[in-house]
Amino acid sequence: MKVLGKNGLSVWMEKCCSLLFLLGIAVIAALPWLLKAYYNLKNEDYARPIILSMLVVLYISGAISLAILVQLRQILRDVNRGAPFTMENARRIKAVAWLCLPVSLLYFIGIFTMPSALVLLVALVFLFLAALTFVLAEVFRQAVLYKEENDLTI
Amino acid sequence: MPIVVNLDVMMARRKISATELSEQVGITMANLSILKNNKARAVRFSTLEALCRVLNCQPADILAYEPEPADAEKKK
Repeated sequence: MKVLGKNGLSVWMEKCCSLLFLLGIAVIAALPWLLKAYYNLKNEDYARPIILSMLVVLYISGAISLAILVQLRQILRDVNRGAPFTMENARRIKAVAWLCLPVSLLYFIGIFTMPSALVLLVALVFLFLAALTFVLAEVFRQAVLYKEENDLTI
Repeated sequence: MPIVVNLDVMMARRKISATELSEQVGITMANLSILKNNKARAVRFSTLEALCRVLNCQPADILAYEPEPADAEKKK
């Protein structure tokens, strides 16, 4: 599988991020109607008490996800431009790690209003991702230092 | 850094242009100017070898150690 270069995976992922960004905005904008339509398919009576907290959680985590997508798209753009190892990208990866934390916290709080194993799962996954991304951000920062050193070795 | 690259002197003595030197040594013009302007942090032995071969000189003809005064450290 071709990852970098023309028609590589990273080029498609950059397009994918742009598409998801637009899709995300559309979903957030249509969220109240989407949720109602979804629960009309299911049993509406059980859904009514949690629909407000679902809206709040989805609005906030949706907005944060859009911010994460912006960072990822900019990283991918640098990758496709052939210059991924910059301090700016190390900072972006760290920003993604920080952005994962409030999402995790939000879903942990959400367990109280929407008691579901899936809500807990999302909270745990984002906490895991945040921790892992912090490590990757630091590794990436060191890679940037190596890269700078290497660039100045003639 | 107290290690100074005196490439200009040797190039003038051998009457070789930067373009010519970079071609014969096999490094880019950009890298050669980094080297000439003392911006480089390290020199590969292979590069040094090629430079010495092309310029027909010793490493000491290109590199020099100039101890810097103690207060020069603060300027960096």
